[in-house]
Amino acid sequence: MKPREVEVLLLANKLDFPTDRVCDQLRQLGTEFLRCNFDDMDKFRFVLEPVSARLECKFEDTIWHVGEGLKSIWWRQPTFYRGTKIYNPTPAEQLYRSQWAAFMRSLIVFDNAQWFNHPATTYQAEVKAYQLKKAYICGFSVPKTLITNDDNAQVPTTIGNPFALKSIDTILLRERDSQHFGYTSITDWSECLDGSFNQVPATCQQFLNPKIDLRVTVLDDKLWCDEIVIDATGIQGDWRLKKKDDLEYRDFLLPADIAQNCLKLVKSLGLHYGAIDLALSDGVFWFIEINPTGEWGWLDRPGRGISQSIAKKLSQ
Amino acid sequence: MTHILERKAKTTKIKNVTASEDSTYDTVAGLWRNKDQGIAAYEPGNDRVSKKMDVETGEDLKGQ
Repeated sequence: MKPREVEVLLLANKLDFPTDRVCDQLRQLGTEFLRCNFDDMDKFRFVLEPVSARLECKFEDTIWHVGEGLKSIWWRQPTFYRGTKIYNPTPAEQLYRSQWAAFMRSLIVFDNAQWFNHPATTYQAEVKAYQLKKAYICGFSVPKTLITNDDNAQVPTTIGNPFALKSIDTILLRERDSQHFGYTSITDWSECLDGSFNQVPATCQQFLNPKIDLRVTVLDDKLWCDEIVIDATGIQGDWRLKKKDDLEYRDFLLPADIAQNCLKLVKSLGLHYGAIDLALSDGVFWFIEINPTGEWGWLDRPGRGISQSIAKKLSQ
Repeated sequence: MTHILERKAKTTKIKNVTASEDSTYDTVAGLWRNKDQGIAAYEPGNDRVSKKMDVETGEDLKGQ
């Protein structure tokens, strides 16, 4: 069979339904693509020539060639693994995860392709402290923030009390058949004074209340904004803790200057795509965070065209 | 003593994340198909399903 010359390479996971949508849109555009899933890599047979930047990939009777014709890469991977998915992984599981993750990163040899987003810029842009600094430079209002493990830090006087307590990186802790996930929690400083606060750094941030949570999905020069509400009202604390069926995601029109700040921030972080969280409180649009590989499938309602736009961008 | 970030973390039983038994993955097309060959990602109810399949791991499986 004649090899398929790949125009778009998608690096995802097998259960990533939003990437299914992009693949369907690419097919409708007539774009040749190859989707590789981290959890399924050994299904394929790969040969990578690093110097000439050529990749051959086989699956049953289908062969793909990735090389000069490659236009773009859709990177839907964590930039590193925290290693909590498998409890007590076997040597074979450890080997699979470390080596395939490195293989996927090795595809940065395709440096003439447009990356959505490049792993190196993603790695940098995922750092919350860096995001806050860049957002401030781009013109956003940024909540007062201290990152500290010092129980003598002036949190109540400089940040306020209560305040929003956050981790500085995703918390997902595995313990036998249970997992512990860290959400933003509204905290009184006195709760931190039990002698354990110095164990790890934490983010202490100004408590914005009342607020309306906004999610801004940015793709180069285009954006979609949603407000997340219950009964048309903003949610106190972390909305992810609310029942999904109670949540409403509604179109929200951002003021032009805030929309410009969003586009500027994504660009200044070296990204093409970003999912930005804002909070509207007291008439101010506060920057909360940006996720360079954030989810968007839940916002791709009929008529919104997020997956179509991504597929078009990737095909250009 | 347990750190406040650990104390405040929400504890859940680990779910075994799988796709619906009625769907199969089409490797060449890069998507899941239902029994009738329709695309699972467009099914009502799946629009809000991310790769996380409702298992909170942080965006983009960062927690994994």
